[in-house]
Amino acid sequence: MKIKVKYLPPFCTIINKKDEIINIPKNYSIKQLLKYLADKYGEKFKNNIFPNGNPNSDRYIVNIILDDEIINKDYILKSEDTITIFMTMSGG
Amino acid sequence: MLKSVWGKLLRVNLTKKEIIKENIPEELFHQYIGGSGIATKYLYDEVPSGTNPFSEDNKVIFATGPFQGYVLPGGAKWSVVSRSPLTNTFGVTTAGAEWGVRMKNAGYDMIIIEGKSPEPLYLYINNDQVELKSAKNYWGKDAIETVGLIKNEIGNEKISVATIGTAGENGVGIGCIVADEHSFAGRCGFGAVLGSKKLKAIAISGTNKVPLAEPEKLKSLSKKLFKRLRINSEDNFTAHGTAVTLASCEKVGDLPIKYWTRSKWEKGAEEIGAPNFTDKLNAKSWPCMYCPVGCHRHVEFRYKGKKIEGAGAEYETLGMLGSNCLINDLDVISKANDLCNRLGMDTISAGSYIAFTMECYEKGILNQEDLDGLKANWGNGDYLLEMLKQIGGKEGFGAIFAGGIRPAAKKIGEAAERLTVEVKNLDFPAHDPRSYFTLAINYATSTRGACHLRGYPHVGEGGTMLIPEMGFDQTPERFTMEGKAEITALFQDIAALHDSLVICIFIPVQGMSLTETTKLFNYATGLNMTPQELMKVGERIVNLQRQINVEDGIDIEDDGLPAKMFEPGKKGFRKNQIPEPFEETLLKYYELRGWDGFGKPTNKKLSDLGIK
Repeated sequence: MKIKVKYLPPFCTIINKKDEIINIPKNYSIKQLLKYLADKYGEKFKNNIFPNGNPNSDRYIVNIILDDEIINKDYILKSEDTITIFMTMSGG
Repeated sequence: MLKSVWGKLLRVNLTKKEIIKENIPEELFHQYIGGSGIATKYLYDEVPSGTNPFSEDNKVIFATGPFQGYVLPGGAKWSVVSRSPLTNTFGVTTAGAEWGVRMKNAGYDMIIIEGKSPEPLYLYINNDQVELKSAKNYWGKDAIETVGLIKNEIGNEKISVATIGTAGENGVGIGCIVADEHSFAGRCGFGAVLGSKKLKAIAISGTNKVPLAEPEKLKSLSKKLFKRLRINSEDNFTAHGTAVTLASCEKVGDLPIKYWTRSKWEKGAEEIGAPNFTDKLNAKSWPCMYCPVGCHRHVEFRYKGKKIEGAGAEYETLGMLGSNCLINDLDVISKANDLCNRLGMDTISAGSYIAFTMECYEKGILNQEDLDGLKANWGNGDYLLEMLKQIGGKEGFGAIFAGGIRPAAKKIGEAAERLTVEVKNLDFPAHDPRSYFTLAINYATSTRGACHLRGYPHVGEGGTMLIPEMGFDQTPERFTMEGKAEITALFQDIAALHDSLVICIFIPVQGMSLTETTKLFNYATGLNMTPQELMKVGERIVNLQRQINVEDGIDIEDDGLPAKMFEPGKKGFRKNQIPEPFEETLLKYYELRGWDGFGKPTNKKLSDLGIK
């Protein structure tokens, strides 16, 4: 099934795209998606997803929003979902 | 004496033109560490409650801590403590660049400025050689130009200069201190306090090596941290500065928009945030000394055909001068930022004042005639620039803001008073408590007024930083006040600790744990403290600062939030959300702190912490 992923900075500058359509299997969770994206886009992407770039961490330093609500790692994605990935860090 | 501090302060009396070197009792470092902690103790002991910030009796205390003067990630910070002309009570601010490192290497932990000079002076410190010099030729010069002029006079490009601009000279309440052209001790108006004392600048050259207890262990851990923090930062803060978070902040309704009346501005946020910010302004990292993060920007752009270069806007500035005023033109915001830098003026409050007048104008509370012919419509960049000049110059309508937004609104009228967004006359920074509920309690109780740095619980609430050493080991639920009093107190304590060491907030945020901070501290000083013991020092400092607030008459009546914070967003992430129950959570926070129902630290609490 297809979902749309939107990327806010710095992800859009790391992978050089603002959004993309991704094909995923059924019963695919956010946790699995983030692992998949980290593998696909490499170290720089990974370093901005997991604390200290550790892909085994159970925690993320990103928010994933669907319909203006933060969804957690166990959320099972549905066909046609549009999610946005961005930093948790707020301001400066 | 423990290692990594000198145990020395410089006392500079401007009235008597007297410079004295004094010892700092060692026990004070144990109790308050350094930086803003130890400076708070000196302010409490030496400046009576109720002292007018502009009087001869007020003092301005510059302080470093055990983390300054040698290679340590984020160790270029320094603190300033004084009484604020905005809040009329305790105030504190920090900055970076190189100045704090030079001060420490000159051989001093603190510089206490007291008295008043009849004529403009600047202080020149070259290790043991300390002198007051005439600043007659620099009075009236902007802050950026002054740095270069003083370096030229001394004949040493490598000295570090902290100076005020003309806003501080004019006694404008948001006058700030500008260090080395790109770092700003921005809030609380200490530029104005220095202006009242006729002290234009402090220039420093320092070459003394700081003694360390376990230099090899310190070096080894520092090296490991530098590597990690560089990797964690290179594609976000190093690449784009804090502008990288602008779109994210908009997404969660954290960004101030149209003077806190809107919750969405997606297109505008994209226009003024990174990567547009980086590309359009040729923005590059301008790091503070010893910083692996490098969030400060050097920008180069043209405004109306004229080339401008210098320190670029940070997230706070983009929020307050940009989205808050519905200005989406990066060149205009950057020109306004440059103007504030040169005037030596806090961009957070400056942006707040401009947006406030725009809302008054929209509502018919102010008209073109009131504003000397200016049109204060939303998004009007020309108005922004002109009004900033007026505020900094204390002239025209802008002069109304010399004492801050609260007295300005009072002069305009009751309808205007209902619109202000501040606590204790310090304007909100660019983070919305309707997005991060912890900020509601933090802004209400912060010891310097509404502040996102003397306590940064939103960083914990959002899941960026956990403190497992203190039991805070998972990201809390949003949009509930449950547990938010505890998180607020925890992050206020750790902020006080960081400001006393002194270390930049971005270092823990980007991946240095409290345990590692503690190890650095122990390797530097030779002490053997635990993370929990260090946090206790943070708690002591917060309580002492609160005690100063209380002795100035502050209590629960002053710990409120502006009415707008109880008006929910109409769209987006924080739609229908307000930080309630606020008062119940505030009382819970007091209880947790060991304060009474009026928000006053109890005698038992003060005694337990060794304050009284």
